[in-house]
Amino acid sequence: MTTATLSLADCAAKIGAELRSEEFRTSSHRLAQFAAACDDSNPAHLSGQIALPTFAHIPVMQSMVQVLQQISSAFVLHGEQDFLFHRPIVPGQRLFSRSRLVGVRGTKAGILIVLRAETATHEGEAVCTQYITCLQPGGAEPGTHGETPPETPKAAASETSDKRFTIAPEKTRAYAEAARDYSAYCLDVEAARAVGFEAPLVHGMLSLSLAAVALVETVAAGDSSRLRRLGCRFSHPLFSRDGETLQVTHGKDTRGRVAFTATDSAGNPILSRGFAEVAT
Amino acid sequence: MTMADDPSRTVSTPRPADWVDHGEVAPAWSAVPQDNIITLVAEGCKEDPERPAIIIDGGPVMTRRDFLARCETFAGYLSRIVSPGDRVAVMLDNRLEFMLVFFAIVANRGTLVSIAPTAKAFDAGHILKDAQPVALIHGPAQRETAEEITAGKRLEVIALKGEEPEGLADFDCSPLDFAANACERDDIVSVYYTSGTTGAPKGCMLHHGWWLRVIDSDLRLFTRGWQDRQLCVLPFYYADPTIQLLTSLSTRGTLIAMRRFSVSRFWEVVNTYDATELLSIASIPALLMTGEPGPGERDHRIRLAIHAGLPADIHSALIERYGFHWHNQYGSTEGGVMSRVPHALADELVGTGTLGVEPPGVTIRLVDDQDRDVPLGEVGEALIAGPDLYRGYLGRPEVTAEANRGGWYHSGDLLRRDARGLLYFVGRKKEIIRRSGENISASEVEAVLGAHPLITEAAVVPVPDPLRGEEVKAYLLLAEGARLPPEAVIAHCSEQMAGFKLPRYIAYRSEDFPRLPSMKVDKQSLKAETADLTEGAWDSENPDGDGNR
Repeated sequence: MTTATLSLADCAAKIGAELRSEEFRTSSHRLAQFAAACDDSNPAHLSGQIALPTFAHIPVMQSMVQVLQQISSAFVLHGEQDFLFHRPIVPGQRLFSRSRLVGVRGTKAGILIVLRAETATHEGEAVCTQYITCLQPGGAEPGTHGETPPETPKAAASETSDKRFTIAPEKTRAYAEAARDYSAYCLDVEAARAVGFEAPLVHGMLSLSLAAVALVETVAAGDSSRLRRLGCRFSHPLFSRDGETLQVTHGKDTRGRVAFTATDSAGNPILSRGFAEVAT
Repeated sequence: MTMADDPSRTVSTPRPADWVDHGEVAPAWSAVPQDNIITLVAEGCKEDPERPAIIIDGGPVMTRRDFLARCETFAGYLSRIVSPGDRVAVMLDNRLEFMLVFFAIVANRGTLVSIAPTAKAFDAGHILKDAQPVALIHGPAQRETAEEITAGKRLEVIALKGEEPEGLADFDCSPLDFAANACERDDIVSVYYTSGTTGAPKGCMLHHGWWLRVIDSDLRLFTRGWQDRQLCVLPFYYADPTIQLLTSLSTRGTLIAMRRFSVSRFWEVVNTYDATELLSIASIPALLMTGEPGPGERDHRIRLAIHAGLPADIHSALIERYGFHWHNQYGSTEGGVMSRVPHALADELVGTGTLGVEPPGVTIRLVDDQDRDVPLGEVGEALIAGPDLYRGYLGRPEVTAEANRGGWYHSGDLLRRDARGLLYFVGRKKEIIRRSGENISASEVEAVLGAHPLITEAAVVPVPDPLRGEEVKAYLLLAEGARLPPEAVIAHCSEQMAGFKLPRYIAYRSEDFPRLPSMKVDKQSLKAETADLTEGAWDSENPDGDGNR
């Protein structure tokens, strides 16, 4: 892997770079496969009637990665994710997506790269807007160019609950297959070591999908069409190995705002500053 | 081949400004390496090693990492047998090892000679004698034929053993590094024997440039992404499945392959493996339409079918029923992708039967028997020019020179072009029935017959006739349980075409047609079924005779 990195000014000059994903058609089989790979037990998701909302990441993945590759050939980390759901994904849709570099910010940790991805049906109905923040590690001069991701809601939790998921290499592989995201550092020890990790990682989007499963069940009463927004920070790598777990802890306030975190078996904060909005 | 014979040397004629084209097309070679297909395989596999390269329905799933490793291992074994320019005959069913064998041969700068796995001693023996390979690779099902045709011959016989994909495990060896291959763009990759309406089949030689050009054209006319999975329903011994695998490897897709096309299992396969695209030929769409309607045929992710020679009459019904476009294409072993319906005009051109227009880099002229251009709108033989056409017929320089005379490849296909530059298939030059001085295209009569709702498929052949030279005979396969008297067939045809084209003889099929592995009707076998072609057929000049009805 090459490590050529761009300066903040070079990254800023690329703001506006945009790519489209190929048309993505939806089928109940594909939606059901995704839900099953995310340990979902929701009958509407498992039958493919409606997608587990994080499925919205799948159609944008290619254009998102390719925009990033225009900016940096280095290994970048998925730092934050913010989904704004406009309309559920259901079978029979023809989805068109585009990803755009909208902002960059220099921090001590490196350059934060902000992408916005929009997905709509072929009839032009908005389906999902995503803000994806990636970190190119290595330190950078301070400064902000272009857009920053929107403010994230803060919830004052009044009631809380927990859900624990088991992690295993075969589950990571099942997710890779369901998402068609075969990132080698998630599936192969050597590839993980090559980018500095002791073991293969669980896809960040699988961790967030597990949180989505927990939230739809508990705060949306199983009705995923009520989920309007979902996001978090990916704070710590979750290793794909037998015996590992992901515990999702969340709370909800009286206005339908939800806060959550997720930790691994050692208590490391895998997902932090998690938030969701649920329509009543 | 001399320079004059080489169609790639020809300067193409400029296209009129008012002809349609493929619109904005991605720049050439943007997704495909230019030097050779072995580099393409190595780069594609290394870019995304954990992604499946190929999934066989009811068989193995193989990641790109494993696929490359197994290709390189078998290539290491072959390196002791195959020198540059050597040919290796391959007779394998649709099993994964076919693809490993393909690239292992080519990485050694050898040439794959493709033999139908169903071939017997006569036809397989002809190819073996013609191509003089240094080795024959076959599967368990071909053992008897292989023994018969190789008896007493000096060539290596490699028999696959055991379960797929381990059929080559006995030949493990230190690998040949694909990334460091020494292939040259002009090396002959493969030889395919064309079925040929006359004379013995001849081996069409395809170099790396042909393969790269076809892959490049295909990807530029329709871009694929990482979520795309092409479905292959054709026999691997054809070039198409390997083209599909290579386009998939270039674009981080996955190839799904069926052992053979099946109407009853089709939608189940599409949905189980999440196919997004179909490559279709011959009667596949017509057969598909005979299937029992079910929810799977609407609830799937297929976004396009590319079809060679789509029946115009069912075009809109196909789109209506299955929910995706079918792009008609004109392709051949010799010419690669010669024309296709432009994506942007697909809606407008539904049901017109047009083959579309040439992809960038290819030029088609329509000429008369003296190779003079015919006026626009008139029927002529299609001559093809392009930078990467086939490299001739193996061991037949005179046949090659004749086919490439004047620097253009003579396709033997009769086409017509309209005022917008769109091409239409009229028939095979050799499948013209000459009746009392009139020329009748078998495929035109077949299209008219096939448009009848009760006729699933028709095959039309000439019958020698002392009075008129030749007569038209139609074989009909009716929809299940249907009855259609000959008078009704004739009435249907009379509404659609001139009287001299009406079939004189009609024969009803009680079972499916004999077919080539490509699913096309095998007219040679069909004609050989009865000693006299008029035997048992209804005769319009003796309608109350004893012909079947």
